[in-house]
Amino acid sequence: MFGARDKARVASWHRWLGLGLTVPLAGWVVSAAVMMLVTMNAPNGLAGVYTLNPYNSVDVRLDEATVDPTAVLRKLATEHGIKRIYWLRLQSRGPHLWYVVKPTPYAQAMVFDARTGERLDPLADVLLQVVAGEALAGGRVAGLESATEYNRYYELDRVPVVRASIIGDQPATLIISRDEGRTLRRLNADSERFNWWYRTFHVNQLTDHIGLWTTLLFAAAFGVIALTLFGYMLFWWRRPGNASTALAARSRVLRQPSRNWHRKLGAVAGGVLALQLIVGAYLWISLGPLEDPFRGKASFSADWGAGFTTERSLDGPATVLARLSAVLPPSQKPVQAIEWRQLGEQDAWVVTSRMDEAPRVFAAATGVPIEALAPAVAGEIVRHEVVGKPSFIYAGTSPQLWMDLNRPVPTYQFRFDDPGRTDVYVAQNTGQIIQRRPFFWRMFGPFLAVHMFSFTGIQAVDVTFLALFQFAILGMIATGWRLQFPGTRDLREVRESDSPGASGSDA
Amino acid sequence: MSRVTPPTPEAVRNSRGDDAVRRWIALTNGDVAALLVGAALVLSMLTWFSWRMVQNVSGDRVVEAQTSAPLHVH
Repeated sequence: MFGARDKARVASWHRWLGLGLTVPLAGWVVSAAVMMLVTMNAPNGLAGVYTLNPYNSVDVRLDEATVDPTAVLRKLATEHGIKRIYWLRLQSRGPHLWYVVKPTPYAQAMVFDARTGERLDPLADVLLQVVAGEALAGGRVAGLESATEYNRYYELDRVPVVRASIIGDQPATLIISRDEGRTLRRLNADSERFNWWYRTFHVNQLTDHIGLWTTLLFAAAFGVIALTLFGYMLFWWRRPGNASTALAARSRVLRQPSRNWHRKLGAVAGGVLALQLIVGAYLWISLGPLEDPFRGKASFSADWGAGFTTERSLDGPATVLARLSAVLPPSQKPVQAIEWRQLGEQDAWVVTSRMDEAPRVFAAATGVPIEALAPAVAGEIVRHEVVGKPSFIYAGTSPQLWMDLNRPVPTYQFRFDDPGRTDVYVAQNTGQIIQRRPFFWRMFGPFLAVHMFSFTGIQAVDVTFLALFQFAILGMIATGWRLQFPGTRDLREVRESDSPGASGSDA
Repeated sequence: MSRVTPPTPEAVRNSRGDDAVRRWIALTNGDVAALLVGAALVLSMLTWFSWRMVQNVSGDRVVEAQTSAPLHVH
């Protein structure tokens, strides 16, 4: 089937592919080791652990707002042509008092000064500096840098943000949206390091041109899979006892430790390497080019029409605070935020007493706390936010990480009958969607587990297994280079065994 | 100067046997074992992966990878 010339050609391809793909292959292995070490004992993984600032640094009472919420609604209707909104929030930030309007669940927010009515978004750097300074306890802003950010909650592909460098008790980089100053991501030293190694050496995304770098990444991965295949072909052709492998050549092979190790390591780890590349390619398709459907953005309803109209009237902050004075916990500090929402058939007030705690929800009609919506009500609220408003089944409860608070919140899980068969996780008290997980994402777990060698769940076992695999790959690379560039002693030995009297040739 | 003595026919026959044994040892002691281990690893991973995938796509509950870090937290 394969002649001597074909075999020589495959040997040449194997050699040059191996040499040429050394850098990406070694980069994947070394970066995997670094990422594993960085996150191995990190509490809360890449999300990190932060102490959020509980109170605004300036005691600003919400009832100091001179613009009432109904006036904001009228402004939205008359000046911006907005007929319905998702929610309206009054909040203090530093000395400022702002109304934040969320026109739809996935749109960028609008911000209005609650004392003048002036529109403030996109927020200027000077305002974002105030927001960033209020985010973490004991933090000061060292600098801001404009950027864009992918975020699963927004329909926009790239959300305008600033990267705020925070110094002080909790050094960090905060990714803060320009629309309302929402913290989209927090990076500490570990997650910064992880991110650098991941993007530079693991998925090779050196710039934001995802198409270009993904093409190069997949070409390299395909090259390594071909390299592995050629390696197994050579392994088979050069097996002892094969007619084309003379015994003298075989004995030469056995006397060359690097060739022997290369064969053995290749036979053990080559298949696993090829499997890992296929799995890794799937993971990158999910996290890279197809991130939108993966993160559930394909399930956004384009014709969302819930929330409440801008024609209606809302109770002002003074009324809300007076009605809830008996049920809110006593505090020296003023209430930090009030949010007006429609939860199914009822109006609700979502009140934040501390910025480091989940808000409390109250029925506006009665002032009674809502600890948790009925699952059917929560499901119906989010049904309007899923494309095609499909039917759904209730699938249980679970805590899910909410980035805004950087902690898990209790959620309901609903499985929708949309094209993506999306699981939607909904905060039990506010009806806020915390996470969307389409079928595409549900398939991700086993791929990731295989890629990270998370087979037993026992860290010592899994990490040892992964480390052995990584050493095997690095060993293959090292012995491959040794074969291409043998030392003078090896060369002499080869020359001697090739000399007259030492018969045979390698296939 | 030493003289090289040509091997006797019997010695040649014996050396052929030695070669076969050496070849068999090399084959079973190293290459075949390495190949079997490699194949077993791949098959084990594929089996484990299939089992987890069936769990994830057939049930209501998603079994998360037991990793210390969610890859992208957006």
